[in-house]
Amino acid sequence: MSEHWLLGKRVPRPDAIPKVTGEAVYTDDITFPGMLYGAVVRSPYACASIRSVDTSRAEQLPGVRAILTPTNSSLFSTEILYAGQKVAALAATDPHTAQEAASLIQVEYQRHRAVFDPIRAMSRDAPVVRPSRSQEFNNVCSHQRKERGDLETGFAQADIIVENTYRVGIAHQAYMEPHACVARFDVSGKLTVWTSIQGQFNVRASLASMLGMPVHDVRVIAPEIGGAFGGKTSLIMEPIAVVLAKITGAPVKIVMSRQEEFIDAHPGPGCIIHVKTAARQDGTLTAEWAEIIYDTGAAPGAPTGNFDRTRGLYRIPNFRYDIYSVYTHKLIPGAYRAPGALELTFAFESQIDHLAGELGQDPIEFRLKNAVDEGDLTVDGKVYPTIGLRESLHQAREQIKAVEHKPHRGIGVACGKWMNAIGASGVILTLNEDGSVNLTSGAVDLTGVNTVLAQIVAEELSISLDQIHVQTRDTDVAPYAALSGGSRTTYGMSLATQNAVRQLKKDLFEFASQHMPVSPEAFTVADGKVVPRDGSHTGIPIRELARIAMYSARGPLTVTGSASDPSWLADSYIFITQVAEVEVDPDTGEITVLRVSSFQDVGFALNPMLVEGQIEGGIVQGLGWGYLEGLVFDKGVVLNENLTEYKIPTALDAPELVPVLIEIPSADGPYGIKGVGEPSMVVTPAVLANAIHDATGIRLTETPLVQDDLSTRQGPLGNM
Amino acid sequence: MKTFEYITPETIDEALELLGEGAQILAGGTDLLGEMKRGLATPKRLINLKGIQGLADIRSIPDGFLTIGSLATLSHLAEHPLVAQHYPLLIEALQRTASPQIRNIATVGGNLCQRPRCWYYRHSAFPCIRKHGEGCFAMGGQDRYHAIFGGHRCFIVHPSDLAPALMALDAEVRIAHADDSRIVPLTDFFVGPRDSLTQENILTRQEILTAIRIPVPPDNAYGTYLKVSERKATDFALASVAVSIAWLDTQVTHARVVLGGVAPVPWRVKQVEEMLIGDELSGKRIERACERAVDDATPLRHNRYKVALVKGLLRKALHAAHRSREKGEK
Ligand SMILES: Cc1cc2nc3c(=O)[nH]c(=O)nc-3n(C[C@H](O)[C@H](O)[C@H](O)COP(=O)(O)OP(=O)(O)OC[C@H]3O[C@@H](n4cnc5c(N)ncnc54)[C@H](O)[C@@H]3O)c2cc1C
Repeated sequence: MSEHWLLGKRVPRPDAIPKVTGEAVYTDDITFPGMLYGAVVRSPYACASIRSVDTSRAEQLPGVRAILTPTNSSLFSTEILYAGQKVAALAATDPHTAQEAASLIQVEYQRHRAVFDPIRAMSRDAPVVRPSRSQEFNNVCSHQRKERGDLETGFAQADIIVENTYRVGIAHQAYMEPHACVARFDVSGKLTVWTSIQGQFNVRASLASMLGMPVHDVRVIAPEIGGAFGGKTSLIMEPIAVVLAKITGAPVKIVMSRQEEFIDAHPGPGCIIHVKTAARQDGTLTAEWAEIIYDTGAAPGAPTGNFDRTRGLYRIPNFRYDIYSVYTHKLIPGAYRAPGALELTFAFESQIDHLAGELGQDPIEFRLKNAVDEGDLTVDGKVYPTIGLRESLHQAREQIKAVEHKPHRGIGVACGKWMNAIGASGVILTLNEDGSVNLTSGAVDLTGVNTVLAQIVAEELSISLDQIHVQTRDTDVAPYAALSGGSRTTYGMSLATQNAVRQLKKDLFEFASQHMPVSPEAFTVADGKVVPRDGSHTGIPIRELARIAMYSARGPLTVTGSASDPSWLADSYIFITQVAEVEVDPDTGEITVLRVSSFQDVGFALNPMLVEGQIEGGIVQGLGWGYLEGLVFDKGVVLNENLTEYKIPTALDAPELVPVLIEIPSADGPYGIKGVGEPSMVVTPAVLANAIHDATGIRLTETPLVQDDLSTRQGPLGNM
Repeated sequence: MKTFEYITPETIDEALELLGEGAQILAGGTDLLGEMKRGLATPKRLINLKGIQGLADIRSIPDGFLTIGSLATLSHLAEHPLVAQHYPLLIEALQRTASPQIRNIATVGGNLCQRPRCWYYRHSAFPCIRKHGEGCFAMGGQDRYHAIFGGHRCFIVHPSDLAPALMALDAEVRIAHADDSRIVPLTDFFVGPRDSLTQENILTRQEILTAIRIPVPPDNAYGTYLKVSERKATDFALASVAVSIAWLDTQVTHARVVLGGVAPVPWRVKQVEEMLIGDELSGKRIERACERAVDDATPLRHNRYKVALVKGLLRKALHAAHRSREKGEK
């Protein structure tokens, strides 16, 4: 891709410095005179009915301004479906008074029998969390089936069948900045909300519909955001802050504590996967059957819709997958970076490894034998275009060959797939009178997208990067942008920016042809100038054209750019192979993850530094969820509700990370890019489990892997 | 958060006078503040020791002891040249304690007096026996991190990494009281649930831990501290072992073996020490010592792995000791 001069270059993020120096403004930094602070009362019980809420003592506390309860607000229910569910809320003059008032509210509960395990919840005698969608089972929230061929024939053709049950625990996204929001009505009744969120327009739509207001009367501002990873896609505290602000007439701020994050945010879901995979002695896969049971907690939230988006790596002629989500009396899960992919990849890629082992085949050769190719069908029956699965396997094979074998070490390999969304994307591009450019976007910058958009504008106009000013502005100012998620942001926003900047070029060329004897189509840009392609004229600097246009009848050169896709997902197939090297202490069974290498098809890396950052971060998060993390419950109550006991990886837990970028351009992506925000974390738990198996001979089927009985890993181990 | 009085006395005597019902000592605050935020500690008066001159000093004194003021930070101790020279085992323990940021604030006294980390004890929803409530929720509950030794109606483990290491070095503590002060071997400092279900050491409300003394280890002594935790930093021990061994020729003449993370107190295994003394440290003997160390283990539902872990850690530590002696010979 050497035709670009700036795309594909390692450009640092300009927002990095204000973030590390503390200059960046986050939601909790927003304050107003007379602002009130909200606090929430939560149920300690997982399943109960509220008999009464006594607010009299809290009302008497000086500084308390408003109290919301199930009696006076539809935001709260008297039916409790999980421990941590909000029961009441209040606003007070300072956070301490708010907390104290919350503790003075007396709630009387009638407790009921609860159910926490999704398999238990499916049995006909289990307590009903919500009405079941199934005739056969209790508490079914959703069920879908994916099928092809004939299972019986497929299994009959097989020489070997491997059957296992995998369990993945509930993992919090553990973003640094907890959910926070400020709500304020102005005298005209217009609402402004500052919030830590991935998509400001989603918040605007939800709040406007809740309040029955037109969207233009609701302004949502997303200040800098301290991480999200899918955990900030839906409203949590905003409706409460808005109602409290409305009642009191004062701005209201609510910041969730870390404890509240762990008991009432939307973590990655728990999942149980029972799977049978079959192959012939020669290594040909013949059939696969699986029952996938998501724990969706007290309401729909588990990401059950992404099966085709993340599976379909191998030619399996006969398959049936039943995907359930099941209600339990637990908190409601949500999206966590490539929602649905990590748990499925863990199970299915462990199966592949298991089968290869049983057949005595090399795990890479086994995968290559069955890997899908251009022209093969996805699970849902779409036809694959050119894809990078084989290439990533080949590169992984070379890497493995170079690894020196040592005692107590293991090497694992696993593959993954993901597809990015596009989403409605708009930008405004203005050529300033000095030739610099402002780009206004409504997309929250989580990953460095604004840096990349600046690169695109600079590239297309052949002007230097410091002439481009990209800003995320709020819903009153910026054009619509779908939420930053689904690996869509750079993809969709780059498309919109590409459209905008190409329109700007067209306008420039038209304007330039009034000043040079050249037709608009014959122009190009070079070194910051508009020049005829045939060199018939020395050209005019863009800076000059901008100034002339501004003060002529033409007026300022301002354009918009848009992009979207009705099918939600782009035709962009991202394949990854990862290789993990681990070491097991023969005395203690302790595992050290030495190195994880990731061979990922990224289409085209607009900014390799940012792409590598996404991959490295993803691997460490995957290691977190798969290896270390998981909410621990007792009777529905989260025990590890803080970052001491809920153990995310530290720098010392992170292995050496080797991101290798494979560039097989996507057909319809801008500059051939593919989404890179999510897929990197998908494979890591599987690859670690496979490496641990290689080192010890033990196949771990439950996350967090570290909580296996270490003793089984001690002693002279495995197949070394 | 409840209001409280905050006082910074300038002498130990002043501090002792301020003690009493509702008063609590504040050192680095890395544990106490967490306890206060969760409503586990509700002091009416906080006595901040950081105004007392000399309480953070680390000195060697003529009679061969190292004296560590209770207010010395963990970082300060880990960086002290005398520690590097005589007690490398302490450095190993300190390097595996919490995180650099916490070590810069946490004090040695506070580390020995820190409260249990049991998640039922720390959680507001579980009124357990250690909070003057009823019963132990870990029994029959989520007991992966709990005790395999010495539990009795309560199955906390002592969270300190420093305590087993200091105990293996025969440390003593100095305790100040308005009337007199006393010196107590660290082995007698900690209190298990058979003796108290609400406190983990012998300090009364009227007392302050002022210093820790460590004798110079015997000649040819080797010490090591090994710890296994799920996360490589900022994590408490699943199990740990502190070992101090000395030899005359090939014969073990001195042995201390103390386990961490497996009992309500740092768990000294005297039966192992006794069987090691007077003999060579052969592979066979090491295996027997490892078995012996877990003789009286009574694991709960989900923490049987700790039995194997203790054996593995002890095996590793004793082999390291053996190797170091062989190296010393060459
Ligand atoms: C995230 C995290 C991870 C941790 N990991 C580890 C670990 O891996 N290993 C480990 O060993 N520890 C660990 N800790 C615990 C930490 O080491 C202790 O919190 C610290 O040592 C306590 O010292 P402090 O000076 O802050 O004590 P404070 O918090 O001030 O006091 C603790 C308690 O001791 C009492 N006290 C303090 N000094 C005295 C005194 N001189 N006389 C009488 N009573 C006194 C206080 O009243 C209070 O009850 C961790 C802590 C945290 C927060």
